[in-house]
Amino acid sequence: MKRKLTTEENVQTPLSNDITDQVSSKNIKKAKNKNHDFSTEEIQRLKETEALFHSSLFRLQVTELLKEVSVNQNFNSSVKECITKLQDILTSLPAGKTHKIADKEWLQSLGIQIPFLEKPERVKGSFQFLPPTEVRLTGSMTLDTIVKPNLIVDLVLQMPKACFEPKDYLNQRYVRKRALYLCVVASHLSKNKQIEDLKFTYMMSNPYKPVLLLTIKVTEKRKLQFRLLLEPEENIFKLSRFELSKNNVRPNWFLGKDSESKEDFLPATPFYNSSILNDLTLKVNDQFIADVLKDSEGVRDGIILLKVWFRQRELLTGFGSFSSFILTAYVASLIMLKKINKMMNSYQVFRTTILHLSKADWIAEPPTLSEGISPRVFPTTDEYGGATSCVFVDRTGFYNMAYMISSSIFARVKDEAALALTTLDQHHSSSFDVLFMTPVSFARKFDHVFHITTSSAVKECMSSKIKEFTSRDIDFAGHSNIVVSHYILQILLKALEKRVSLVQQESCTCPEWKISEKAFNFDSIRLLTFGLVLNVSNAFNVLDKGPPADLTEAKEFREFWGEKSEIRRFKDGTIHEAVLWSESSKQSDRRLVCKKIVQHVLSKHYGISKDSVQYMEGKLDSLLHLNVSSKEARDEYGTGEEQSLSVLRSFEELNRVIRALSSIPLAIHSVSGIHPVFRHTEVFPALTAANVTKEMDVEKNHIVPKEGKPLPQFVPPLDVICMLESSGKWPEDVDAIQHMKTLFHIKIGNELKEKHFYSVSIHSSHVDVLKDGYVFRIKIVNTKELAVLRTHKTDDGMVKFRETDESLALEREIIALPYITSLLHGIQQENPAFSSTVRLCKRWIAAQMVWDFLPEIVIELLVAYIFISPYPYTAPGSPCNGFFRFLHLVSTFNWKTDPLMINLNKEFTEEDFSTIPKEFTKHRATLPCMCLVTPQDKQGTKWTRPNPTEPFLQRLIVLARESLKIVEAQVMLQTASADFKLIFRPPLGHYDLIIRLLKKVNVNRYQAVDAKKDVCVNLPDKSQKQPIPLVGFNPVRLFVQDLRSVFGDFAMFFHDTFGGDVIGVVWKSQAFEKKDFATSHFNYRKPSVNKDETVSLMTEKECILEDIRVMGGGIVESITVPSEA
Amino acid sequence: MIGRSNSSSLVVKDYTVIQVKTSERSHASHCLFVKEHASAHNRVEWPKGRTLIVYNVPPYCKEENIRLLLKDCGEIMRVFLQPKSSIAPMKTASLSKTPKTVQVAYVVFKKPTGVRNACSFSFDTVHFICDQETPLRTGLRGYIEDYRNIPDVTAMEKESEKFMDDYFKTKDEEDKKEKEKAGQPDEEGFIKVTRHGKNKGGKRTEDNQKKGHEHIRKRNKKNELKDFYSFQFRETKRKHILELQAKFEEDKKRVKEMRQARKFRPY
Repeated sequence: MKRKLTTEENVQTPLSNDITDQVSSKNIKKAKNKNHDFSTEEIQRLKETEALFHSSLFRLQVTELLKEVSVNQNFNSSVKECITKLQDILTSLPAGKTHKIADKEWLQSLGIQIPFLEKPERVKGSFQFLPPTEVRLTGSMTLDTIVKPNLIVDLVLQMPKACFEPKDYLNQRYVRKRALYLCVVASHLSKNKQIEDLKFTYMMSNPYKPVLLLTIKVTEKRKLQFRLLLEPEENIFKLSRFELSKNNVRPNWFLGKDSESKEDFLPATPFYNSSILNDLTLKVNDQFIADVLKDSEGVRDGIILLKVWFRQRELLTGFGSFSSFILTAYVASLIMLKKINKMMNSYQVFRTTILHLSKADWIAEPPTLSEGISPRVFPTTDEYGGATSCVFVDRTGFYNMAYMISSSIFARVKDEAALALTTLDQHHSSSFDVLFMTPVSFARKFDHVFHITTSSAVKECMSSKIKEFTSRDIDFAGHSNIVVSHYILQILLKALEKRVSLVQQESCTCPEWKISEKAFNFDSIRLLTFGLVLNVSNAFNVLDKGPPADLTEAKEFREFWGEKSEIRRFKDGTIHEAVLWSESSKQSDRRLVCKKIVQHVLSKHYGISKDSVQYMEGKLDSLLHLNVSSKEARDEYGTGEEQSLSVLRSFEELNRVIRALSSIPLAIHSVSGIHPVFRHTEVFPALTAANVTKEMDVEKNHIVPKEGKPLPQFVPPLDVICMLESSGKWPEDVDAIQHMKTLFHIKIGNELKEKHFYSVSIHSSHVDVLKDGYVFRIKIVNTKELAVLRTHKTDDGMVKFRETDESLALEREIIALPYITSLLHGIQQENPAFSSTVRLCKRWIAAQMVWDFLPEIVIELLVAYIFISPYPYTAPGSPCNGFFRFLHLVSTFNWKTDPLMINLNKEFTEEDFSTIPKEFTKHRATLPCMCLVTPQDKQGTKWTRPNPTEPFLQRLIVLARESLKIVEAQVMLQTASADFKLIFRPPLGHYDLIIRLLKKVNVNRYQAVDAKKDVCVNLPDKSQKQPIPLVGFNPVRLFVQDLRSVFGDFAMFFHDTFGGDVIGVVWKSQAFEKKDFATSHFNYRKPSVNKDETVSLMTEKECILEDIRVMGGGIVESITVPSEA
Repeated sequence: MIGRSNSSSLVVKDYTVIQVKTSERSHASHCLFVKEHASAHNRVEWPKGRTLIVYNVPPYCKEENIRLLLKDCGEIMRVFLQPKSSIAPMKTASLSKTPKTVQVAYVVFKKPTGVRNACSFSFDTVHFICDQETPLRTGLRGYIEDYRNIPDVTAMEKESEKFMDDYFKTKDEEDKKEKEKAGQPDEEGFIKVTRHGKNKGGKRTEDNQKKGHEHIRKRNKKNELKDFYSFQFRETKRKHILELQAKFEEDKKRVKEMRQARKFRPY
């Protein structure tokens, strides 16, 4: 009995009915025999979960989700009630008079506008309203797959045959009659008091298919929304009439030409045809699908999961997207193929469907429902494929159910499906959240987002350049924007090619409008929004290399790129056509290459001017710019990526020198930078120090500040630790080790000065070395100190190792930080967007004046998580996008119930993924509010103690949520103001006091969000030996630190470390309570006599303010109470 | 509890309250709480009767400011300024910079009258802790002065070398002593096992002790036969189910928490 039940998940190959049966029956038997204390059902369920589900947690979560989105019995019964009522009303509607289709007077008298864009207005034929022959339920309600919150019940009215004439298939006559029919129904229903909110909209945003929305009041509180669809009575048209290659809208009629003239070319109208076919085949397909899916709970739940998954990705609404009908039909087709069986559970159905979607090709191997019916003459798939981008053959074989789905959306779905599978295979506890709970918004999904303003000029330009434009325009009933989007997408795909992995348009979602209003016109959409997911390995190439100049392809290449294309000679001697997009190779310029391409191509081919393309990438870059007076320096700095590299290069050289030092007796084990600049995460990487000028005071080869003189440029010290080899000779006393280190510092300082001629500044705790204008702060460290700090001897002489605050701090500095630095450096190598993303996030945190409440490394780890485990996305390709995801992560992650597992270097084992959350839950109460687990720190407490604190985290969550809301709206242009710095300017109104600082002491004011470009930096002269510059001297920061250490019990101080010119003060309310007269309460208090003659102590606000003024002499400009804004 | 003695001084629970200001212009005065230092631990540095303890000394106050304030009370021998009160004078940490805080001052007078004079300071008159000759070194000026105070490397070197010499000397002595003691039975006749000498014992650490226990457990486990008896087999199966059950229960708890946090509303 060695055989174990299937523990590996084998859902990919479908389990057939009998296997599942076998498994469960075996389970029962075993259970009965051996486990008396469990019920058989219980054991069965446990084993089933183990074998067939992702994990037991996943199963529970799915159950909860289903409970949340499904409707209750109560709902179903009230729906039934309403349907009978509606059926009665609708079938007893009176017949109307006969009107010409083009006649609108009678409609106007009803106060209703036809929900159809009549272009052109005149059309032959007449229309008479007759009551529907049948009213039936359709859609998700029949299948029980209706999902909250959009509870809309679909009803189909069958229009009687007598309403139609034989030639109605031609020139939109059928669709217009259909619209008129809906108008009459609407006019009758508007008189009914129980029915309210009558509105029109297009079904699936298809302009040929208006539908009527209405709300019925069941009780005072309960309202039900219905959607009325139309279908004609059976057999009014032959299905073959609507084959995709046929023309049913005559160009002469559409374009208003003389109808008598002969038409020699009739372009196919596949969209028009399919739209009508949809109506004609509605009943057949509905019934068939209901038949296939009936009586299977697993399948039903699986479809609900799929719907939730799609909805979170915004792929179920808007023109060109999937629909829940297609989803349901797809599951049905998989059942027909025996890929899914009815015994499967919801998870298996979901997974199988996603698996097939991820591999799907709906042109070459389209899914079909027509299998197994008698062979009929229906179009081959080739015919389908030519006309549309996706094919899904229906039950009749004539209708392509996927006619609406655009190729870009389909590519997106495939991509998302593949991502979902990887997520599931990761076995993370968070996979449920990632799949079903995280909304994937457009702004966060796409690295680059841009908006194109369309105009009639663009349409004219396109129609003159593209042959098929007009015929497509005819097919889409004159909604030109749909056609325009199509061609824009095509050219983008061609131009961007390998630079992107996805290009998608944000689906234009058709709004709902009142029945008295005009029909929605797609051309009224002013902006078309597009998104790109970059392929980071190619996206930033500055050069597009074309074919060799002497080939015929070269001509085509030249034509496509226009004057941008040049003939270039390459290193290997070949001569190619090529396009160079940027002269500089700075990352800040390379990021914008795609923008340049998009703008160039659109203006060249479609006459869309640069101003009509609003490209969002780069809008936040200004926050990382250097706001100094010299334009040259600004340009050279860009967004600072290169500056970090320059520091790293200097460090490399210094590193070599240090390793070769000979004056210390111990060998150097390693030299590693631990300052953020060494992992590309310093917001403003150090600038080279200024040259010494006459104005500066120099003392012992140090530039020193002097009262009354302007402070020289701020130079940060860059921390480097120098680990010595371990040795038994180190003393076993902390103080002795400190003195030992001092001696070492003096030794290496002297050697660097005398042998290598560096300017050095020796301190007992470190040595500062000036190299290429950067100051490296070298500290000698050793592991012995760590051991000494940990050692603790008990009374009976046993040696115990206990972590103390000091040992933990030292361990972080000399072991953990160098390691993380190297790992993050690695992430940057793979993801060029990492550096700017972290820095943007840090800039935002600092701008909120909460910099000191969240350790820097925590921000870095959070961003690292976004790049390592980007699900449900791929790793961000642009800093903007990374920043949005950071805000989303901070504001939505469930810090209370989950640890954030950052799989640095992929060192987590399978086991870790289950044990770590378990341990976390067990010890939750003693853990910090934010747990960042890394393979090196499995408890996740290393960096988040003591900060951030719980109240701070809550505040951060609120800040992130609000900022994200604002900035995403700005990116999607939903708000008029496009000032992207808005979220970097927190309001000051809620502070109790505002301390304004003097400009002259604010040494890094050029880093401020709204910096005036008044700080001068000069480029250093590297050849000349310079004295040690003023290192780390920032009076503002020193002042803030002192305020905190002195008045920390009374108030909190907030300051933007990057050049902020104000300090916000919030009093701590508990500090102002009366205290007993005791020495511990003496500070900043005054005695006061109570009523009962006892004395207590009261805090003196005035005295504190006075001392803030005293301590801030020469720094503080004013202290004010902010006006309520 | 609260008393106003003859000379209008305010005394609360033995503490005399003195109001001080930094300049004429300042609006608020700062209250110092002074008292004769009395402690069970008699320290030579802080002789009984002659030491005054001052609480709530502003962070920017330096020794000279205290001296200025108390100059009329009597001759001052020494002033100790520390971040908080303590039994013995705190060592000033030379290696690391201590953050600024409100301070406590111990002032040692030459004569006990100094303390008495200080304790009878008038509450109503405001005293000043700085004047033309002894200005406050705060704000930008203070930071600049701190920075300009560049360490003297030779002095630093000398200090550290001396410390190390002393350290090694005392250590050598201790080692020597211990070596001498090694092998010698103490009063009760026990011989201490040390790390010196021929039979060095392993270091007695927690880890080593654990390792010992672990070793025994491992040995026992090795001798055990697995899946030999059918009951053992049954047990492992049962354990597996139990594990699943435990995990299920745990997950259920988590899900319940999530439900409470409304984590199942997808949109």
